[in-house]
Amino acid sequence: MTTSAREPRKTARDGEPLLSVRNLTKAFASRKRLFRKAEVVYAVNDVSFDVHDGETLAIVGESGCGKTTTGRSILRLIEPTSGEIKFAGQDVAALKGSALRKMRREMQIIFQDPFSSLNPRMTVGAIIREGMLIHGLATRAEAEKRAGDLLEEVGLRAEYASRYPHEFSGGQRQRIGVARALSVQPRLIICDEPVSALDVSVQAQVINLLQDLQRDRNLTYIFIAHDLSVVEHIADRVAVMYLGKIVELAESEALFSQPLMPYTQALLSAAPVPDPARTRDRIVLQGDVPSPANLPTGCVFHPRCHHPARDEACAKIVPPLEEKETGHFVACIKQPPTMVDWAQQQSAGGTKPPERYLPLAALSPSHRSEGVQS
Amino acid sequence: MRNRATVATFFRSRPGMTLAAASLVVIIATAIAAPLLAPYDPVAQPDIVGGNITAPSAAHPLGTDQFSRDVLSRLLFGARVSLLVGIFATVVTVTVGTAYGLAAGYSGGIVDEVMMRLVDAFMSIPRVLLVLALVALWGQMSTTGLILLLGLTGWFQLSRLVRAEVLGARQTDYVASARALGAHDFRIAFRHVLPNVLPPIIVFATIGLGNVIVLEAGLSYLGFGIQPPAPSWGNMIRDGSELMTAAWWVSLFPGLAIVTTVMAVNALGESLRRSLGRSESRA
Repeated sequence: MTTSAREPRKTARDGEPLLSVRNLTKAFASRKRLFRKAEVVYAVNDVSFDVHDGETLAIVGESGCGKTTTGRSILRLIEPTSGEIKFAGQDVAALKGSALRKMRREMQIIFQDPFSSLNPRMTVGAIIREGMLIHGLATRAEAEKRAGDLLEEVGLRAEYASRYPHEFSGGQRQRIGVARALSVQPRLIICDEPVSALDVSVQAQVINLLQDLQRDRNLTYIFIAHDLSVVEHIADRVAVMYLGKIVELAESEALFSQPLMPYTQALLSAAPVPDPARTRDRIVLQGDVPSPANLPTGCVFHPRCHHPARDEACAKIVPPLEEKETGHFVACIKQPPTMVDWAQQQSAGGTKPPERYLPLAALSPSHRSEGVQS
Repeated sequence: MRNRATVATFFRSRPGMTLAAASLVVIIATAIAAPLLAPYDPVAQPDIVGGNITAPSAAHPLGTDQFSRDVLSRLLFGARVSLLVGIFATVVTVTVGTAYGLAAGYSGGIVDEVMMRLVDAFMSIPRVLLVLALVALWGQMSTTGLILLLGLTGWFQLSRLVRAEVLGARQTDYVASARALGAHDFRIAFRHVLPNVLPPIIVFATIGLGNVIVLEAGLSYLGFGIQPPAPSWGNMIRDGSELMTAAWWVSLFPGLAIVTTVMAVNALGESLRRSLGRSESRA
């Protein structure tokens, strides 16, 4: 199972990564029932990636692909089944008790649903102060002052501290959530679909706020999303997940201009382009996403793949996430170069040799929005 | 100023709740002021030889019982006992039930499983039978004993309710966020989970109060509760039970007192349930 353990090397950056995740796996066991074996669902399956100081790594994929579980496992809000999580050299996965609580200051989270993420029985001020008081970062009076400052920093008024969450709109609540995350001065923030529950007009405001904060405070983001236009706007690098695995990981520009994984190609071709004059050729996948309790053998994407060289080997060999171009990692044995050589593929039943397949190049640039054409 | 206005609107828009709450306030106030309001000593037997039962009159507005004691005075002092037992037993119930449910729901896993199966076992015995069995075991009962007995047999359902609510609250993002901020389990349980499961607990407590008052009256009626000559609504009904046709006033007035109190408590509980439920769905 762990053939894709090869470390995606850092590319344009020097120095140690801020966060380094290796072979992260989270398995959920369904309850045993009479006459039925307990099923094991791999929500996150052997995922490895690095996040560098100050960058934004986006994790994209459709619902149920494991992106939220990945984010929450890094924070230990969900206990990972196995794998290593290193933050600034410290092994987060091994921390316990008070050491873990201390560590939590460094990594925060912004939630998708601004309605369930704020305690309805606490004032906004109390919500923002809580983290400072837990970690002893401020006395009560200082915390009150700082909560007001934080509210202003996220574009709200300091007086709102005495109000309750239900008095605010979704966008305002999301700003309160941001202020709460900032209250403990973290270095890394996991943004778990922070704008997908908001109106489009408000989305842009919150995205801009996040970008301003990143610049001012030198924050590092893991940005979990399914909206590709948002990702293209905010991300430095993008990881694409499918059925619990990272199938492609590249610099944002490379990924959007030349996606190599057939799944990513389909995903990008499905993204809407706000231009009625352009016609689009979409790659339409066949079938549904397989049940994560019963994963396809070999490449998890092979039953739905549209790569012309797809063959028996794809159903047998688990494709390693390997570097096809500098900094561009793809899990596909049919996109050359690959370390699973042709002889190996043939012995696994392969009949079609690997070949570069770039269907989006033909329809380019119609599949992309204007921002990143290069 | 703004607060006073909201309180006024709150009650004006809920006439049922206002009436119930007001009646309860009156009942509790009379009980507290019983020594000032009662025209006679509730246990004095002025006509100990004749044992005259007198019908309601100017001197004895609610009449006297077969021991020539003033029914009105006994009713007022009886209210103290009935309400005292009811309220403190409910406090015991709510404290134990909430703590137990919170512990079970928050721990989860095998602890939760064991704790809940234990509750299932207790719940399989009807409360009245359980209480009677314990009384038989215990013998004579002080007021404190009665409070504990009634309080400790009433929390099973509440603990299940609290546990279910806690399981729900535990899954929310604000609890995840508190954990991500580094909050201790204790803090999460008491600052984040408990305040959000409070509304159903309040409703349960109100309705439970009515049940306990009836149960205490029943016990005293059977002679297991408050012991004579101290008055309680239950043993007053018992005193009059054999004289129902001859001296209806001896049993009727304590009976009415129980009905009124329990109805007020239940109406309050019901309207609380509705208005708390409403604010919940709005939030």
